[in-house]
Order: sequence, then C-alpha cells, then structure tokens
Amino acid sequence: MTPSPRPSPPSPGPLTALPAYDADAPALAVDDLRVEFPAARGRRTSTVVDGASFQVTAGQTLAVVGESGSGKSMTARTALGILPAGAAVRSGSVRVHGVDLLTLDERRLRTVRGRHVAMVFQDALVALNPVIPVGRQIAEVFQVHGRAGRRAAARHAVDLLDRVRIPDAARRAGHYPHQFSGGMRQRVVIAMALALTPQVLIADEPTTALDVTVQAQILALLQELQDEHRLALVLVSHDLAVVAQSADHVAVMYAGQVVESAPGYELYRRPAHPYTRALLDAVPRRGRRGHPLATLPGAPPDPARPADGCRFRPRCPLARAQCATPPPVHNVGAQHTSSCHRWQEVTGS
Amino acid sequence: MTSLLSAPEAASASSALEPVPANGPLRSLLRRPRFVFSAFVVVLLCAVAAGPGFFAGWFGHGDPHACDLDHSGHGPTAGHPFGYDIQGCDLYSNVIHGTRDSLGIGLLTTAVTLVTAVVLGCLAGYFGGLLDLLISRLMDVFFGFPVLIGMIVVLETFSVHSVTSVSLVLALFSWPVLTRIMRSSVLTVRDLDYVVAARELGAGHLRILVRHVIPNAIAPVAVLTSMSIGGVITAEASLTFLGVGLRAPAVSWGVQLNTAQQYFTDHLGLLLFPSLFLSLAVLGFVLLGDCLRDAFDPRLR
Amino acid sequence: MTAEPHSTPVLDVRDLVKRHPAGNRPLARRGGHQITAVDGVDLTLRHGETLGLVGESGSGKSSLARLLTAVDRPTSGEITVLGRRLDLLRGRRLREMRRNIQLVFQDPYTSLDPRMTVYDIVREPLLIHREVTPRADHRARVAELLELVGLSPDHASRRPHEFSGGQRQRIGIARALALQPGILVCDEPVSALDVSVQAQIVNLFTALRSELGISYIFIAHDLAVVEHVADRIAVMRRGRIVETGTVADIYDRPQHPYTQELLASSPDLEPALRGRAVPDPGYEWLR
Repeated sequence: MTPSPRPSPPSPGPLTALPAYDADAPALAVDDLRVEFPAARGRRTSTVVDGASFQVTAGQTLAVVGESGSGKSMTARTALGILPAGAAVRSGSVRVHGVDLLTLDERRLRTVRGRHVAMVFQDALVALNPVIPVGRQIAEVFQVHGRAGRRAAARHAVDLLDRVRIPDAARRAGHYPHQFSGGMRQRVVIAMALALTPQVLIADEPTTALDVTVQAQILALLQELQDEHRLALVLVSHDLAVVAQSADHVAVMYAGQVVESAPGYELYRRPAHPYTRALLDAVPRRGRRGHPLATLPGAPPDPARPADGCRFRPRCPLARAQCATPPPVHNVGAQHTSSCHRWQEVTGS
Repeated sequence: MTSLLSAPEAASASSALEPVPANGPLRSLLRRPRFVFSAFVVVLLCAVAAGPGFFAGWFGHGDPHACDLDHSGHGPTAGHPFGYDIQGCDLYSNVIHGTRDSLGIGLLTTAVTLVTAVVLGCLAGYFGGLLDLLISRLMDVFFGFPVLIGMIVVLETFSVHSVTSVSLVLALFSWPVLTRIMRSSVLTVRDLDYVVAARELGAGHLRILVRHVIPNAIAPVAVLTSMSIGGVITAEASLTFLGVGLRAPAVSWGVQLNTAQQYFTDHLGLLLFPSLFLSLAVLGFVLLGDCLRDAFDPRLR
Repeated sequence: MTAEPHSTPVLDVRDLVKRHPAGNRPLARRGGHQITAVDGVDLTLRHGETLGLVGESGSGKSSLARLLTAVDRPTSGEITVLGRRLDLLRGRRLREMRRNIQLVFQDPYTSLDPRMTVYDIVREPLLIHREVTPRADHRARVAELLELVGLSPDHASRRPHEFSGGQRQRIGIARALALQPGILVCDEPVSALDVSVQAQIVNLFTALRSELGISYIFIAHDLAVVEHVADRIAVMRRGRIVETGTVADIYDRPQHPYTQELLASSPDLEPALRGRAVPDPGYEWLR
C-alpha cells in the first residue's frame, strides 16, 4: 500500500518535549495501578483496579481479558484519563514512552488524547454525533488540534475513511452515522481514533456489539492497521477466543488484578492460573459436541467486598489455607507470570 | 411516606413507590437534610390544613372572623404576631386558616391530574393505535392553548367558585403535562422483556398494567406530582389575585393577597405574611419532589 | 446427547411470514412500506430434541421466537403445537395453549420486573394459570422450581437487582418452567453472560432436558454454544432458513455459502490450544 498523504508526521507535541520522554520506552506501561470508588454515603470503598501492571510496545498487540467487574475497562479508561465521575486513582503510574500521564494536568492530557493514545469503544453509535456527517466529525479532529485547515481536513477525513476500507469513501463521508451498518460505523470510529496517528490504540470490546462475520472483519482491520502504523494495540475483551488470533501477549484480569500475564501462544497452551484455565475450559470448543462444559462455580466478586488473600479463592477448586495470604507474582517462564500460590499444579497437570 | 401520598388518590402510587429495595430509598432519604426539611414543612402544613383551629389559637385569638374595624391595618401587637388585616381581623389566624383551602386546591387538583394522567397515559402508551392518536392530539390542543386565558374564561362561566370548582378547572388545564410524561414512560416500559414475558404467560391487559407497567412507569410522574402541587398552589393564588379564583368569605392565601393588592403600599404585612407561607409551601413541595427524583434514580442511590 | 428417537413432532411451522409496517403509524395504509421479518419459515421440532437456530442480528430469529410463543401474531402461515394450530387460537384456548410453550429471554437485566420479589416473579405464571397448581402449594412449588434451576429457596424474598446476571437468568428459567411446558424457546439465553457463567447456564439447559424431557428451540448467534446443546441446527438469514441439518452436517459439511462464512468467522480457541489436553468437566484435572 502506498503511503497516502498525511496531515503531518507525529509532531513534536508537548509530550515529546518533556524530559521524561523516551522514544525507546514502551509505548504504554501501566504499573501497579490502583483505582477506587471512595466510600460514600451508604457505600463502601470499591477497589475496581487493584495493582494492575502490564506494558505494550510499538507494533505489539496486548489483550486484556476479563469478565464483567474485572476492572479491564476501568484500566483502559485510566490510560486516557477519562475515569467515570467518582473514581479516583490511588496509586501507580500510566506511562506513555516514559511520561507518566497521571502527573499531567488536564490541559496537557488533552493533547495526549488522540495524538498519543486513542480509544475505540464498544458502542460506535454513542461515540458518534448523530446529527453531523461522519466526514465532518473526523475533519473536526484535525481542526481542533490545529493540524489542518477546513479544506485539507475534509480531504484527510476521506482519506482516513478509505484507509479503514470503507468503500466509496468520498461519498460516504457525507453520510450520517445512522446510515452506516454496525460494522461500518465501528470503522468510522476507528478512522477517527487514527486521525492524529496515535502511537497507542486502546480498543475496549470493539467487536462485542457486532455480528460474528463483521467481528472477524474488524479484528482483521485492526491487525492490518497496526502493521501499517506500528501501533501499540491494546485489545480489551471478555472473550479469550476472540483475541486468540491476534494477541501477542495476554493479561488476564480478575477482580481488579492481573492474575496471569503471558505471551499468547504460551497462555493458551500452558495456563498457569486456575482462573485462566477455567476460562479456557468454559469456552465452548469445536469438536467437543455433546460434552458438558467445564464450569466455574459462583460469579465474579463484588469489588466492595473482595476476598482476603487470593481474590479467586472462593471460586477456586485448588484453594488451600495458604491462599488466604495474597499470592506473590511468580515467574512461570519467559515473560510469563502468574499470581497463584499453586501455579505449578495448574501447569503440571 | 409523606402527605403527598396520604391523599387517597395517590394510594396506588404509594404502593408502587415504596417497594424498590425494602427500605432503601426511604433510609437514604432520611439522611438528606433537604428531604428532612421539605418533608417537615409539608407535614407541618398538612397538619395546619387538617386542624387550623389548634394552630390559630396559639396566640389567644384563633377566630379568623372575630374582627374589629378599630384595628384595621394595625401592625403586630401582643397576641397578634402578624397584626390585623383591613377588616380588623387577626392576620395570623387568617393565614393559618387559609392553609386549608390553598393546600386543598393543590392536593385535589394534583390528585385529579394524577389519576387522569395515569389512566390516559396508560391507554395511549400501552394500547397505542387510534386511542393514542386521539389522546395525543387532544393533548396537543391543550398545549397550544393560552392556559391563563383558558382558565379565566372557564372560571368566568362558573357561578360557584369553590375549592372543588377551582380545582377542576386547574386540573382541566394541567393534565396534559403529566399525561404526556406518563405516556412516554409507559411506552418505554411496555416493550421491556418482563412485560413481554407476562404477555407470553397469558396475563390479561389489566394484570399487566397494574402489576408491571404502572409500578415501573409511574416514578417520573410521581416525582413531578409533588412539584406540581407547589405549582398549583401558586396558580390558585394567581387566579384568585386576578379575581377569578376563590372569593371571600373563603380564606385562602390567594384571597388574602387579592384583598391586599389595594392596601399593601401602606400595610406591607398584608402582602408579606400570606406570600411567606405561600413560598414556604411551594418550596417544601418542590424540594420534596427533587429529593424523590434523586431517590428514584438508581444511579444516585 | 441421549439417543432417544425424536419421532413425534411437538412443534411444526409451515411457511410462516411476519410483516410489519415500517415505523409506527397507526393510520398507515395497508400496502405501504413493510418490513418482512420472517419470510416463509418451515421448521419441525421433535419430542425431546434441541433445535439450534443460528443467525446474525436482523436475521429474524427473535421475531420468530415471538411468533412461536404467541407474543406476536403471524401475517400468514401455520404454527402447530402438539397437534393444535397455535395461530388460530384465541382467548381462553390460546391462554391454555401458552402453558406448553414458554420463552427464555436474552437479557437477564430486563426480563425480570425490578419491583417484584423472586417469589412473585416465579409465582406469577401460577396465578395466571390457576388450574396448574392449587394456591396452597404455591410456596412449595416456587421453592421446588428455584432448587431445580440451582438457586436457594431462601432467596425467594429478594429482588432481582441483588442477583448476578447468571442467577437472574436462572430465575427467568424457573419462571418459564413453572407451567411445566413441553417446549422452551430460548432467545440467546447466554449471550449476555460472562464466559464462565455461560457454561453454567448451558449445562443447566442440558440437565433440564434430560430431567424434564423438554424440547428446545435454542436461538444464538454463537455457533460454538449451539454446537454444544443442539441436535439439529437451522441457519437463518434475512428472515429465511438457508440451511438445516444435523450438527455434524452443519459443522462438518456446510452446504450454503453463508453457513460456511459464519463458520469461518466464528472465533475459535482450537488453533491456539493445539495440543492441549481436552478438559475434564468438573475440575477433575485439579483434584
């Protein structure tokens, strides 16, 4: 594919000017992040992200996988500084090329969003303004960031729509969001996220609302775009099967913690945490027709009432007395960690 | 809960309001100073309306009709904290006795409006079709009408200006707002899965409406109801001030303000004390509605 | 699954069509612009069988579920349930017929009335069909139903919001089972649930089938889930059934290009798991 005209190369924005900026540092590194909803009237403190760490480098895909309430979306939002009202970061850091976003003021953070870190949400319909044609919405991104004049911005918008493989982009740019199908709309949102050529793209359940056939297309598109732009891609998902093809590295979250982190091929073949293993077994698999599915008893815990020690203990068939103490992070293999006291028994069987 | 729901017509609403989680909203409400204040004001006013004699007699001159023209327009003195009105009657006991009619009109109007809104809103929203078309167009007609002029015209044709007749006229012009809200609320509830589930089980329309639709659709209307009581009390005062609402010898705050309009430049108290009660009542009901809205909104609970 | 011969049809659908006018216009003329949600569907469900109905959004599978459970009326065509024409029944006859065919919903957050207790929710069918269980036995029957779906009868006095998605789905299933239906139409019953909870509910359906002899129409967009529960599968697209066959037919020898596309794009763990041991259900691998 020939490189099409760009608004401008990743400009030396305010972030690159900072002393902490290091082009060789990971594109996104989350370290020991803790996010809480502080106790309020009649509500106890809920720790929704509890010491999560992971990192992703340019050209890599990191999948963050977890069930509802695992804190995966909250972690993703923290990276963009868009926490819901009431949530507060207690500790930890979110570094983009070495610069801790949590130390930046709102004004500076605004320049980071879109330019360095961009996000694609699950529901494309609410991410777009229903009364403005999509081409103009994308063009506005350039104008707001002072990257281009009106004419040039409109041209770039069409170009971007073309790049996310929307057929007949020039005509479609004049259409309103409701005139697009779900999959096409998600492409528009991806185009918008890529407008300012960010280094990090966070996709929060980008295909959950889509049909199976469309889901495959969007995942393929993200993969292609990543290769073209050497993006660091963070794919947040509830489904291990969906990210199986595309993830270089997988972080499994449970109750706000990263319980296992491993390269994709390693995690699927040699899970070292009982929760990962249970998740894998619970996914219906081809060719296992007629057999009951392995199930995990119970439901994910209430973040306001976490279990002592290992969070997974109440649902874990392996739980022993020692699990009442918080498990340390064990090194299972190269870049493979597990927070389970008894990880050897999980991998050993 | 509060006086708002003690009106018999609101009984259906009260059973719908209280269940959410057993005592969740009520308990969280009791922790809000705004709710405690507004509920106190509302309860107190209702007590006053129920037994004005008791409160009026506090300073020893409880009879609003025991007047002495010698004292016409006199300021506050011992035993007469608000002073005298133009007829020489005790202003305090008049204001206290005025509570009953003002509040009565507020509650009666709102009750009639609420029942109308629930019935018509359900018919329009749940059954839809031609019925919805008719009710909606009828509402549009009322919305397009200059309300104040409409009320003046209708009231002018009445020979009796009692609490009931004024209430009915006020209700005649205020039902469309609540009905429209009820209709849209029913529309959203109607297609929810649990209503479909009841239909699929073979439940009749009445059962679906009473068990599922009304309890789940009424919250926004119930909240507005409390606020609208305040609005109606003001509207009554305005109509009476214009001379088309209640008329003496009825004693409402509106009637007192009406009498005051010629004299208030000299006797400010005539305007001040009834307005003070009026404002307090309106504030009480509006704040109460506000708190109820918060209590019903699960995101704020 | 069980090798019971599924001979007698309990549900038979012939040339079913559902059209509705585009938009909500009460006075819209007939013959105006119409949307065809279900377009000439034929299908048969035999006794004790699970028929998987697969399709993407807008394929008409939910519309079909609403027709089969008499929530909506078909525009034309025949629905025969246990030998009686469901589409012709009215009034009391229809109400009695509804006992035989019940619906399980997709979204456990909207399918239960938030203001009712679990007891009232599960008991409601018994109040509507008073002939099924004498009033005095309601409490015992509700407790029995809750146990059947894996909930504690002690939970009966709670309200839905106190339960997780999976538990709510169980409540919905208990309600659907209250009238002892022969047929359960499940409209995407696990797609709103977490993966680990999904498996619990899928297994519950399987267990109920062998315990109660229920026949299922199991609707899903997820081919992998359907493969697990169904005996036969019908693939639906744009209101029509494009392919029907046994599970082996559909998964191993798909004929229709659309079925092939669906299969190709369905996310699958298998390649990633290559070489890993097949899990034993129930965690024997850990004990």
